[in-house]
Amino acid sequence: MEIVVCIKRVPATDTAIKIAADGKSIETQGVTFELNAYDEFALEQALRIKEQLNAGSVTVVTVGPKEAQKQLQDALARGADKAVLLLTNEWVHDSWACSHALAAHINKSKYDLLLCGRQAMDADNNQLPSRLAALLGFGCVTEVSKLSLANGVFTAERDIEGAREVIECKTPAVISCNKGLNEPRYANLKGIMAAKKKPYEESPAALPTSAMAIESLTLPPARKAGRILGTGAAAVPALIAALRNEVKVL
Amino acid sequence: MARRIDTYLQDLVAEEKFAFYEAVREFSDAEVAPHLLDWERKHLLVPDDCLAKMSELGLFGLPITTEYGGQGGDHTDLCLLGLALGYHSQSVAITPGAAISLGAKPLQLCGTDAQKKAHLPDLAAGKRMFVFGLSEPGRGSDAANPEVTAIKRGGNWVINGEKCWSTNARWASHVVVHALTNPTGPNGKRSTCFIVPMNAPGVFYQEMKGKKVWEQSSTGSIVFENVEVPADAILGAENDGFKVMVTTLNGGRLFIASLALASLAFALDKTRIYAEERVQFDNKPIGRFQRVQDVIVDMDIALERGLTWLMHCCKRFEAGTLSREQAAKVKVDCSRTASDLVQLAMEACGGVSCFDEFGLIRHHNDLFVTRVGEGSNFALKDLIVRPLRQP
Repeated sequence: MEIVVCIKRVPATDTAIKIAADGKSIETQGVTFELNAYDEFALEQALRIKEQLNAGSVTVVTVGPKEAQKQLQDALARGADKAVLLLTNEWVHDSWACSHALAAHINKSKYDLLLCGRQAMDADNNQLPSRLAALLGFGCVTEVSKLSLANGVFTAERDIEGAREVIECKTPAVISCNKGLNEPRYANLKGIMAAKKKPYEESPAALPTSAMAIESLTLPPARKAGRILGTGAAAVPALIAALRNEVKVL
Repeated sequence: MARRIDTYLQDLVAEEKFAFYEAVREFSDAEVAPHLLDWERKHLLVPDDCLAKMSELGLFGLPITTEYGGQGGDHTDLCLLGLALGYHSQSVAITPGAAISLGAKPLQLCGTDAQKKAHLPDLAAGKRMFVFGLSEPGRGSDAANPEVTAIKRGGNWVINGEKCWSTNARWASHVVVHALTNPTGPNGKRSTCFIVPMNAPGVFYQEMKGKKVWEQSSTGSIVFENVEVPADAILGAENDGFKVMVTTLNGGRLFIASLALASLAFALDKTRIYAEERVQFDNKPIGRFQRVQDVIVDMDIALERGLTWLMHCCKRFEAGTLSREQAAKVKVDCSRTASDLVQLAMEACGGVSCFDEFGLIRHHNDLFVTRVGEGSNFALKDLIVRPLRQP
């Protein structure tokens, strides 16, 4: 099975975000970037499927700056067979444009399965998997937290409001991966050394002109100090009253 | 949070070596750091699932050649492992560290093909460990003259005596015993190393209780009562045991230096961040006070200097040009400087340093081991001074 995994280089989740001087982007000075956590589940699942079938290949693709090479090398070190960097100097926050750039490249080869994270943790759009499936004409299951493969058919499980949905799908398919799907492996030294010899390509990203623009970015308001209403069961009525009348969540 | 140590290492080592350091650092952040307090407060040794995850990551097979299922790494990789794991816990770092540098390494350097084939694949996979039997209740720095004896009986050898301070004894399948075999021979030619199964009749192990440093690391006392082993259990040559030990310890000392620097790196980050958060005297961060800055700056200087020196020594070790004095010097300096500075860092941070969750007290305690372990600094200075007394 030929598998392609779409990944993204995003700021580390423990970054203290600062808004840049233009008010429309974030300050990247001193920020550590890492592989999007949801994409780690996608990569791990791709490697497990390849290991299960003992056949096929795993290609990782990203749209990003030159520095994203580091995340691609990490994916190769963990076991991917080939990496492709679709170069752009822009911060890609528009899922529509990104999906077109990725689809243009993916369409050049024949893939049976496309795996990606449920969303990138920088823009948090949660649109890319569905858009890619539409552009590629693949089936699509999103936010999958359990996946198995038998006789060429995937059984995917996803959490929905108060229940779990089980979906069977055939290839070609796009599956977006959620937390809990697996425990991603770390790269070992042998893998890191082997990664240097694996196929790696770079080409300009075919990004269409974006139809959207960020007008401004603002940080969330500072959190107010907490208030202790009392202790033990005696405090429950006051808590309910506060939640109902002040916070208005009940 | 960007670690100061990363800035220096990125410049000092090749890209793929830094990538390996980053992978182990991520592992340490995710699989060690969140559990450390719990392990400490429950007085646990490194738990089995953590050992299994380290095995999966290939850490136990780091310098073993790929031919035997290892990762094919070198001594720089080993010290990077020490830096990445030791940042949170020296106890955790020393577990694969000793398994490699004191367990697998002597076998790799001095073992016969048959010995390597029999053991290295399992050691590389982390399925079992070798433990190093050098120190004894009555022999610490004077290790060249062991009290443990091995006497020939027919074609076999019979071993008697006691070894102690053996790191990883809890998980060991075999112990490499340094035993007196030629009491009247010239100095350095009196002992032989033997590979002894821990389950051989007459071998008794017990964990050394009451140790308040490296608390998650296993430290064992191993007694030998008429333990009989065949001649092919000899590691290296007969009466060449001291050479095996010295070859092993040179590399081990660099690893100990890496642990000292890992603790220093942690203390530097902890202190510089705390110094900006903690305010005193009209709401000023204590990082504005020059005596606090002095401590932070001295740690930063010592860290960059120590890392540069250590990485240089690793290259020389790989090239086979690292002298005993050089290995001793870097270990003495890194351990002494780091422990002195971490104590000052605790003073700069004040009372909060007393608490385990702040982390500095752990590193302070563990740094003591780096001063006395794998050759005490006092004894190593005796080695360092020798060329200085030549005319």
